[in-house]
Amino acid sequence: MQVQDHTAVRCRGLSKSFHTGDTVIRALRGIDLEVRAGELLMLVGPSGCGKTTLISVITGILNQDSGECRLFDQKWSDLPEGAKTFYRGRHIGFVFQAFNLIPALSAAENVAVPLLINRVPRREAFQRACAMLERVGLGMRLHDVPSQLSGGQQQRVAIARALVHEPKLVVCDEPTSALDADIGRDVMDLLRSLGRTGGRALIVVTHDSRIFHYADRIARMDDGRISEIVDSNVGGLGS
Amino acid sequence: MRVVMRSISFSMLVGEKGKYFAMIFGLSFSSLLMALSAALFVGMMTRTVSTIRNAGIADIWVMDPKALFVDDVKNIQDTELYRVRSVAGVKWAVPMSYAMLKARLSNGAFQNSLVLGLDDATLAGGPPSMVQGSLADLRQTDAVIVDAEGAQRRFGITAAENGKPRPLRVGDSMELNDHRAIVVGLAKVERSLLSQPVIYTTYSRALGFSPAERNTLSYVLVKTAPGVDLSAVCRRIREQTGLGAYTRAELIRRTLVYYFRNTAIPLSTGLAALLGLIVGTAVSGQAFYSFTQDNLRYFGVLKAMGASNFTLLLMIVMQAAVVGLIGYGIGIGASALCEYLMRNTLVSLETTWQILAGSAAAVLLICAGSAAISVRKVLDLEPAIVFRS
Repeated sequence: MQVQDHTAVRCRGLSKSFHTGDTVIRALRGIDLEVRAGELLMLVGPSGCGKTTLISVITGILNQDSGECRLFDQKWSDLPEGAKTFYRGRHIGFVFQAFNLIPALSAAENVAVPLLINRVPRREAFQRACAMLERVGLGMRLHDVPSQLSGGQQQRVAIARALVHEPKLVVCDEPTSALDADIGRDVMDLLRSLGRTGGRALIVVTHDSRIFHYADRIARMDDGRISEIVDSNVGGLGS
Repeated sequence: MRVVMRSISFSMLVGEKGKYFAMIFGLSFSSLLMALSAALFVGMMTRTVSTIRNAGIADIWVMDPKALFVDDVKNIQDTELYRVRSVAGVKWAVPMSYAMLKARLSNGAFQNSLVLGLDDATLAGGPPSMVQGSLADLRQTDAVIVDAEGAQRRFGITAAENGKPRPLRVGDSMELNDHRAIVVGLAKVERSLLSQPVIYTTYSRALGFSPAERNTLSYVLVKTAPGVDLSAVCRRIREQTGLGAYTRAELIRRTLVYYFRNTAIPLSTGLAALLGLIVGTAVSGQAFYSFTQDNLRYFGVLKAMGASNFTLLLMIVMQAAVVGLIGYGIGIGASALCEYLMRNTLVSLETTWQILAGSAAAVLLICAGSAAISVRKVLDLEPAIVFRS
């Protein structure tokens, strides 16, 4: 395992609350977390413990109430909303539990979307999208729309979409929960082999203990806090 | 938004075929209904001024000062013609008589007709073009010229021969108020609102056809000298004769205003147009809103992946513009086809550039409204929605 020594994500004292009528839900309660460049960090914990809120703050989708979050030394709170959106588009890739591929677009078009958003010329965007689909083993399905692909193939397209613009950070939300065990393993193999190249950091939110061994480190969350962080090869946490 | 995002926006739009076609259908139907009802309105209103348009040569129409519109005929004294001729700026002035008479055909059938009497000497104010015969044929004994459309339809039904209808022909005779009249020509004229046949004859013969009245002159048609201010001549005629004098454009406007204010034409056609607007808004607006709602998650994905609000806004506007343009094109095309197919029927459709522009504006309004409601949802969208399964 090759872990670079500089930090991809640094969170200090992150807090975030949601207000529902008179009820205040404290989703994050002073989170301190570092994710190193080139590592695969898994974020685990029970439902409602704040995992999704944490990745939303790390990716600049949500603003924290207090604390600080930096992505490759860029402090999110220093960026205005427009710049935040641009920075996210340029440097972060997403893999979602429900794939979230646009149903009307072909596999190649779906994969090209992040490049098009980043103003890569159309021809180049589609060439790069096709090349990335080749790398995830879907070179023969470039023109298929999501409904013509199996769940595993859709998740491969989603991984290709997350990586095609060579982001510094890839965030995966339950990437295997909609897949059976074998396909889930294929997806994680792919994520691990392609995702960490070039010092890219991966954060994988999961409940699936069958894939914990793919992690370099595992952070357990409980009630809005990081309760423990362990190296996966040390054991503990379901391994 | 760059061209490439437009192509994705378009793919998203046509990908939802059901809603896409619902939007297109709604907007097409809406455009069709609005354009057709407006064309019907214009067509009907145009027919109300057919008498003026058919007598195209006159610059100024002089008539009874109390007449409200062109067909509101109150005859004036014959001598008024000479008073009008004496007004400065008048190059020439000719009489015209206007009467609704029953024409009795050789088989005994009757047909209500508009009989216009033209100046015996000049035949000025006659039909715009002849289909058969010539205007000068009116100088023959008992001669009349019938409009070709009327000869074919209204008189065609009544001029039965061996039990079969046939059009009225040159050489046929008829009776107008017990006076013999011989058809010497067929003319092409614009139809009137009630589509009754138009019969042209000379002024003096028309007086013979009509029941005796003290006053017999319906209009004085005036041609002004070149370069003369028409309004000034009208004013002088009014001042010196006490008659009503209107330029051609003024009389057309006066007639249109009368029919607009005193008939149900604008209300009935306006209601049809409004119905089109409502249907378009309801069907297309709802389908577009529903399309955006269904794609909210994917707009969220685009937002999470770095698409700016401005890009998403342009995507939605582009989607609305595409369905608007296609719907409008189909609707207006269908309307033009209807107009073409009905060109020889009694239905009067007349599409003007104002109708095209108005329908386009209405479709734009529907699309802009639908897009505005949908855009708000997308702009307010929290990208964290993408993490929900």
